[in-house]
Amino acid sequence: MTWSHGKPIAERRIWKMAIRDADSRRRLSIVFLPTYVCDCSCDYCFELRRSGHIVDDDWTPRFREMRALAERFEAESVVVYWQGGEILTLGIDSVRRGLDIADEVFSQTTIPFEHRLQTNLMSYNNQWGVLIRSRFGTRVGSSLDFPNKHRRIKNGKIGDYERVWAGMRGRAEADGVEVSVISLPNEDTLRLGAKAFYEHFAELGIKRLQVNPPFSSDPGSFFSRCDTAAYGRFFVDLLHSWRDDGRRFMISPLAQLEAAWTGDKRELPCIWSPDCSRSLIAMDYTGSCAQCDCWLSSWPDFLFGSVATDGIDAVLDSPARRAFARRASILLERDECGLCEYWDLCRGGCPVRAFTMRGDFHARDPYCQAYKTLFSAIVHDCEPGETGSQVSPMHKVG
Amino acid sequence: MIVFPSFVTVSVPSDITLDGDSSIILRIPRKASPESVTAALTHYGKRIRRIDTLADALFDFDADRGVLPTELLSIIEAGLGVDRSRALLIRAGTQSIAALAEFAATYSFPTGSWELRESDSERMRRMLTALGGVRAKVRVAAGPSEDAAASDGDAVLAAADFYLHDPFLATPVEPFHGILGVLARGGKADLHVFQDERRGMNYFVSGNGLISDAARSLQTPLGCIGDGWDAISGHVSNSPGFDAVTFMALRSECAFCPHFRFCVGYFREYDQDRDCSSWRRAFDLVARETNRGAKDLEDGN
Repeated sequence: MTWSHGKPIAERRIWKMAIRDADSRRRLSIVFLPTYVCDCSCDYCFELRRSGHIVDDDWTPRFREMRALAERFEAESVVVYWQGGEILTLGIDSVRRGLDIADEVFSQTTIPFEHRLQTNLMSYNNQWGVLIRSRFGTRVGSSLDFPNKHRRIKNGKIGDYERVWAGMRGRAEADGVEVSVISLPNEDTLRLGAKAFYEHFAELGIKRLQVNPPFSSDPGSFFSRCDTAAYGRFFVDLLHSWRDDGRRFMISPLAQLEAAWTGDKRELPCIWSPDCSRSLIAMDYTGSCAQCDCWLSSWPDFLFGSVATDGIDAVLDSPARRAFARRASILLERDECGLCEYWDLCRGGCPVRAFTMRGDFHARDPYCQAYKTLFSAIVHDCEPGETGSQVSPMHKVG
Repeated sequence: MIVFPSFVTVSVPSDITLDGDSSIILRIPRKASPESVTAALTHYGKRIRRIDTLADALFDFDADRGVLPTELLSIIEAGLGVDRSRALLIRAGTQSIAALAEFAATYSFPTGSWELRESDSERMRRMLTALGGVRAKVRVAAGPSEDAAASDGDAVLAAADFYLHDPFLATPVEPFHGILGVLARGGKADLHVFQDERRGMNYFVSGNGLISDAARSLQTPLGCIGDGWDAISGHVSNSPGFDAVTFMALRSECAFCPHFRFCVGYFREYDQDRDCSSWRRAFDLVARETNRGAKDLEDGN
């Protein structure tokens, strides 16, 4: 019997799983990996286990599948995050063709979409600058650690990466491309302290810095056995350095957390997304899909399937995706997350970090204590409206 | 067959059909068939003021596939879709926290709210965390004494504490939200259950057709649906609840309780020995926090 507005129950279930999140405003983020090829070989890279890249004939089916996903998610907007591998290794002509085809495919819907690019800049040239300015919103995300211990050009030495990066960043910014930085604090970052870290990026003149708690697909690496509590102290010290300096540039997640607390905006990094299974999906050049790029390239057991060969329904209703969709509710039932005052911010954190460091993506993020330390600093030092006192219940009645 | 007049509101299960012009609170029983719900929605139409359902009636438990919406929910949702001003009240039952959380995250009803009954404090807290996280409106039910007996005594206090201190809660937890507002700004607030128990205005029809003035007074029904309106309405002033109100106001210790203005003796209305200390402690906490907040404001913090 069919009772679901004319849709079969099974289809409705898939549809329901894809939508209705209180906070996401139904923006679908698609992490797109058109290539696994990279000109760098960083210690914590997830993509080293896969290879291959897109060929011209596959741009059209991939973007059609993205459009179909957007429609199935009932997305109000779509952001396609071009990641790799390294996108610039595809060559500018191929990427331009892909962008043109995306325009054509999405012109057949009313869903607004945009492209964002993550690149290590190693293969940057002025032609890329023109393309980035016209098609990727003038800004790219790039990676730089301080100090650099783990990022390296393929067959190069550690120091080569930041030297080449600095040169390419200069060229890109001269071309009118803003380079924002994604940085993973490592063991030496913790040793040097947050103030030195902050000052380094301030001196570089970075306008946007995203600081991510690190993790690795390699269980033996530093990141899989690091002192997560130390990251809490690091983030709080970073918060203080940033505030003392008048919040001179945007630091994620500090700025987003402050905005969430003051009620201005709730747009947190994906590690704290209300439910990433409802707002994010990763797809590679073959059409294989997973929760995000880390799963796609490193853990085939957790793939959702291929939109190209299995079809969209099978991907969205796959056991792997259903398992991701259940994570928050499992944490609420079993874990101390269900009793945590910061649940609304964190939602148990990142499933990849939980999996790589605890072996179970249904576990809570191993950086839990670090997050709580940071959240507490945000809440108790920064009142809504910046008035500064303990949290009072009076704001609940206006 | 009784025909309720237009000025009353009748809570009726979806498998009983009442004629007349009264407003309807349509209850979806645990094992309601999709056909009966569809028929009731069609029959009562715009008379429906609210749809009440047990969460257990909606959930489709499937360990492998998670919580799935049942056909029933699709129908209710479709019924609500006709007029979004009609509210849905989901009464949480004994389902797992995971099931409740997944369900609430999947279905957000803008006009709906969840009713939680007394339980152990940890379960209460987890339910509130789950529902608060999806911006669901919640009310803690001032349930019958058997609910209180099943509680660890701290569940209501845990709910008040959550409401007052969860830094990111963005939706109300009643009755604490209303009471905090009254204490801070004046006005009137009460236990939300009162709106379903206005004597002479609200009636409750049980599954077997008995009529009472409230769900909790079914032990002493006013009559049954085969009776006439005059017979039913004539019994209202003789109901135990009616007498109890007078008793509470005049002779009980409730008369000296600082929280009487919020509960109006509700907890002891039908059971004069009932221990309502868990609610009193919760009200105390709200009052204390209101005073602290007011002092902070005075001090310019």
